[in-house]
Amino acid sequence: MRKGDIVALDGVSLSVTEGEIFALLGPNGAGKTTLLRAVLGITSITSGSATVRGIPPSDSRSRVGVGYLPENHRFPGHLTGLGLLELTGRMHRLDRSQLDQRSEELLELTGMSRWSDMKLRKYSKGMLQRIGLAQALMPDPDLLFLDEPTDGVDPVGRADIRQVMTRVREEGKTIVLNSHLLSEVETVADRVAILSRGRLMKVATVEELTSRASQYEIEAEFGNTLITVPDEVGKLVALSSRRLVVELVDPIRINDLIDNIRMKRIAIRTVKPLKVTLEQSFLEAVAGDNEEASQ
Amino acid sequence: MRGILIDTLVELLDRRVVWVYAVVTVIAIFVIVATSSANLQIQGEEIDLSNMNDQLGNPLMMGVNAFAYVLVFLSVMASAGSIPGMLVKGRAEYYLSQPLPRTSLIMRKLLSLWLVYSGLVVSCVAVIWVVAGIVLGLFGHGLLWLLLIHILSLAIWLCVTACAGVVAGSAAMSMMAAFVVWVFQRILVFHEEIAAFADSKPIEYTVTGLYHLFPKTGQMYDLVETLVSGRPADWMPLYSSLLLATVLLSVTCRIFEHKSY
Ligand SMILES: Nc1ncnc2c1ncn2[C@@H]1O[C@H](COP(=O)(O)OP(=O)(O)OP(=O)(O)O)[C@@H](O)[C@H]1O
Ligand SMILES: [Mg+2]
Repeated sequence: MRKGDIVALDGVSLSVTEGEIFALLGPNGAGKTTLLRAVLGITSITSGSATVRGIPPSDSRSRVGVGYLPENHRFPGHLTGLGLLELTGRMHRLDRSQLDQRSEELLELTGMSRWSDMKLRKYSKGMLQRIGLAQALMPDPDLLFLDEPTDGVDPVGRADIRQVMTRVREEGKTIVLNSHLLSEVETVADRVAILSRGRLMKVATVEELTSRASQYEIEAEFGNTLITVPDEVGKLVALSSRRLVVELVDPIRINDLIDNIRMKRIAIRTVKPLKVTLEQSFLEAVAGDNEEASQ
Repeated sequence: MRGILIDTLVELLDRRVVWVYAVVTVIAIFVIVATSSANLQIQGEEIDLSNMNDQLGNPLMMGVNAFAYVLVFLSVMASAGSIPGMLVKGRAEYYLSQPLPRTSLIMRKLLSLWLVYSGLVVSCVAVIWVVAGIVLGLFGHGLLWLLLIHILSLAIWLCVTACAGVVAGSAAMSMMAAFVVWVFQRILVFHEEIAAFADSKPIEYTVTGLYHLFPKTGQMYDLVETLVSGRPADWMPLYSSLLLATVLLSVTCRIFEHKSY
């Protein structure tokens, strides 16, 4: 997919399953926003295809029951918060009672009830973000696209938004999320795609990205006992008097290692696969691509 | 439709252009009052109003016609930024992500603009007509014709600015397009004279072609005068302009449908 001379997305092939929170990660300019815009029919696709529930984005029916919070939005400043929600609701064909009920609910949920009669042009950044989220939820969407929803929102608001996302997912709805806050993504997302310079680097569950299947951490009273790891089992990464990290040839080999330690009559406290943060995993995935780019 | 109509109305009120219409109307009322006292001075004595109506009714309607023309001009300028304003970065995403086909989105917006601004023009003209009736005791004929033609002329101009707005994506370009078209159609009224002066076939064809192509709202203004005075009318300026507006509208929809934002 091209924009001007830039190939914004190149060979990205993804599918999002119903009922999950799917996060798109990637450095600035990776093409995350462009991907959402293409799926929503805002930006046209030069080659390739996209569908929402089987309907191409050029067909407006693909956007029925779809909510979208754009990044760097500029909602019409002449409308009030409530006015924006009503306009959105009307364009989604809600009737009067639905309009009243939903807008009241959502103003409450996003903590915007107090400001509902103020013109949007007088809103602060975080307030706009909150009303933007309310607007995206107005049609009671079963598919929700959120482009950096917590951008400019205070910590309490961020926690609120995370809660809203979890709640929406619990109702069996799907969320596609763009965010740079990896700790946030780690807590809410089910699956993650990492984009870099318009190309897809990795698609995996958060679980897969944060656990290192081959690395284990063993906590035990090693004291001064020397522990050696045979080559056919794996490689010692770190060893201190209470902690050992090992890189195994095969996860099943953990048993050999445990047997070895038990024979030395050392009390084992914990054995667990080593977790890394999503951030570490993300940085590694992107670092490879950057090296390639600088060559 | 309701949503976009309300959006358009709120935007109009928010931009306070209503005040400009109010000021123009008040000025027109002053002119009427001044005219009425001038009349009385000339006449000097009691006037038989029923008799005057026939003689002065038409000049009065010419005045109302000019007033309506100014209001349409104001409406075109005031509304030119509305569609580009919807499509600026950050706002286009909002409108375009709604479950509406783009054609229906732009048609709803145009229709809303037309209704809202027509409402303004009609109310101001009606106020002036009533005030003139009360102050001068004259009720000119053909108000409905006058309103109809000016409202159609507004529709034609909205199609021009919408097309420029969608293609160029800026309010300034949209206004400039309206202005350029307005200047050209004023010049092209003299297409026969220009062709005669240039005395060359290609120029004659070009000028005549352009004349038929361009909207002829200037001549629609003259058409109102003809209709009001009850003379036989030439409808060509009206229907050829409407035809152009229809073509522009379908081109605008087609471009908008495929444009990437
Ligand atoms: N309107 C535009 N015209 C031309 N190129 C654009 C436009 N918008 C974005 N791009 C280009 O498309 C590429 C992807 O941009 P995109 O906005 O999708 O990135 P992103 O991953 O959302 O970045 P960020 O994290 O900064 O939001 C960039 O190279 C950018 O320069
Ligand atoms: Mg982005």
